[in-house]
Amino acid sequence: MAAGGEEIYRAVPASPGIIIGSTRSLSRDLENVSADRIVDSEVEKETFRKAISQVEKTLEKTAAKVFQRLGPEFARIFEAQVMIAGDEVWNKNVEKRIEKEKICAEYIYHDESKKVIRQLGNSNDAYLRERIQDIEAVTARLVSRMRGEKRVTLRDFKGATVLVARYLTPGDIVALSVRRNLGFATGIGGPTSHTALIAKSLSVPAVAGLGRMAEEISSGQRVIIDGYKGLFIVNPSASTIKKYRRLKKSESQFKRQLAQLKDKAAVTKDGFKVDILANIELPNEVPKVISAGASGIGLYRTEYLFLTRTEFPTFDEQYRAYSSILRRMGKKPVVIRTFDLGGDKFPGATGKNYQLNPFLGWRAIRVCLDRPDIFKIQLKALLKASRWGNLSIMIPMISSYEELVATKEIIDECKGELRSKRVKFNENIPLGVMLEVPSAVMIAEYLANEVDFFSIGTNDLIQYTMAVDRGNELLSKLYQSFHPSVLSLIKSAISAAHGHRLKVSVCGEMAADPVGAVLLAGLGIDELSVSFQSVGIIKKIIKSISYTGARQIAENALKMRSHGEIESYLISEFELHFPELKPVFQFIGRNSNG
Amino acid sequence: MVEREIMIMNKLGLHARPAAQLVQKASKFRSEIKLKRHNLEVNAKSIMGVMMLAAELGSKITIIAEGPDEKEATKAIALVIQSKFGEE
Repeated sequence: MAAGGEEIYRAVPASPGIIIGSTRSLSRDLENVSADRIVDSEVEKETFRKAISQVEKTLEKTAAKVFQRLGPEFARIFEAQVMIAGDEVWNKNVEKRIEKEKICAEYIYHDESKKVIRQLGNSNDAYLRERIQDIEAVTARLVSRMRGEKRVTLRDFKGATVLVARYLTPGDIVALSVRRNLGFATGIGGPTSHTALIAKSLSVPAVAGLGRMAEEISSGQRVIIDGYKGLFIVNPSASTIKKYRRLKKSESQFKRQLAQLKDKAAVTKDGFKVDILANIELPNEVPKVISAGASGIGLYRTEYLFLTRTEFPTFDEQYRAYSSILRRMGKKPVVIRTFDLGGDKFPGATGKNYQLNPFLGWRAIRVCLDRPDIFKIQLKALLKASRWGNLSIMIPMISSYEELVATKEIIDECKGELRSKRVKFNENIPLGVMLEVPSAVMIAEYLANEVDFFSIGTNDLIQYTMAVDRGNELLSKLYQSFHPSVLSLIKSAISAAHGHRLKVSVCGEMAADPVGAVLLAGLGIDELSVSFQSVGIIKKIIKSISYTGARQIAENALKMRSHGEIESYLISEFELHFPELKPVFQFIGRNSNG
Repeated sequence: MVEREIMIMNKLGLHARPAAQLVQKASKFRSEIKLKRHNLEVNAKSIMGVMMLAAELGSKITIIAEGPDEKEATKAIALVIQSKFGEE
């Protein structure tokens, strides 16, 4: 890329935040490893032995550092890589070929790796195919060692650095994120990719979907990442830099303002409480949840245990993960949702890689009820962990009464098994269901007799009500959060819950949308559960409104005919009543004009 | 030489961790130990080798051991596989 004028690229916003810095491009290219002839195979073998043992040591060190800073879930990423680098039989075989063929070690190692990669690539098993990344990572490390190249050490770059690559593995991100002042820009990947999720959970600004640009840009370019809007700006002009410096300043001012609310309760001006809890994907987010001032965890998505691992988590691993969250949260409520596998998430983990229509397919509780062996391990780990804190269990994707009854029978079985082993657990552990399928909302009256709480998952509720795949870009206009049908389902879910004296929360994106939060408060919601980044903003909104005012807004919205009408009404009310809250739109990825 | 065919019965097949367990067990014996699946034969003492088998649930592999402790080695490896690597 030639140095020149400012160029703005629209990418996908992957993780919020702004960074102004210089690029460091990370090549993923293993194709240029050539078969160079060597003179002395003894020397080459010795160099290889040293290089591979250095690779192994570095990996072990990284794993230890990551374990310490981010916990075992992340350190696990490096487990397979350490084993690969330390494979003595494999390395001996490489040495034999060096001696026989008199060709450089990196070529032979890469050549041998390719054999394994080819075999794994043919496998139907998603777990096995994932190992390819590990083998490539070790090979890349060895190649650069052998060539005497310096590994990507960000230490060479002073100040803010934007790492650009075609893709980043979870391992790359985790290893790099121990450094401050970092941003990521990748060629492939979307807002829900693993890269995006990990970047978000580590609060590193990121954009994805840059395409070929990510491979063509050179190191040392000045760029800006706008992780709110998904912009990648190359060679920003002086005025653009000034604008973003201002924005960064107002971002930190706004954050400081919100931080002051940390220990305040989320109560409306006329005294109605709407608790703000946090959604988490990874256990390392717990400290951030606490410092954001959330009153608990409203949703822990346990399927993300698969993010950094390839095998089903054992009972012990699950027990450790759940109890460590509970211990750190103390008396605060923690709602843990059982595996929501299938759909778009970790389809490989269910053993079924391909379903014609995954969202209407074998997913979540449907998988769990068909695989009681897996389900029971999770339930027993949850029950055993329950003694360490204030735990509730939540079941995703319930669409019929029978499913709930079957689930409760399995839970009772698990309790019986634990009792007979004299394991202590909370006998009265609260059970809740997610209302995210319209059929479940319509029978909420009956479900309410069987559970202790409801949580409305608006993301899925909207997609199932509108018959719109939320990942399908062609349909993005039809994914309408404020469609009258969605509002009416939410209203009836709330009244079913309140009719049975149950608490009801919303844990979808709508809860984190400033105007959505006002509407939900007006509909009488008890709790909103949002990502830790949004806790402060939503709390501020709740503290700025009055319940009576919000109820009036909700009543008016319920009389309107379309999403467009309702959305512009909500925005205009918001801007009219809370002009001082207008900056929240910038920091939440919503345009104030709708 | 001892040969024995055995079926992979743990749900996950020979993934990184079960593969590592198998390699660890195999490395304790002095015999040369190979694993064979279809036409591919690999060294049981190599994690890369064992992963290369890409052996999923239900696949059959053959253990071939040759050396002073070939019988014990075959038996021990078969046992690790039969115990489903302590998975459940």
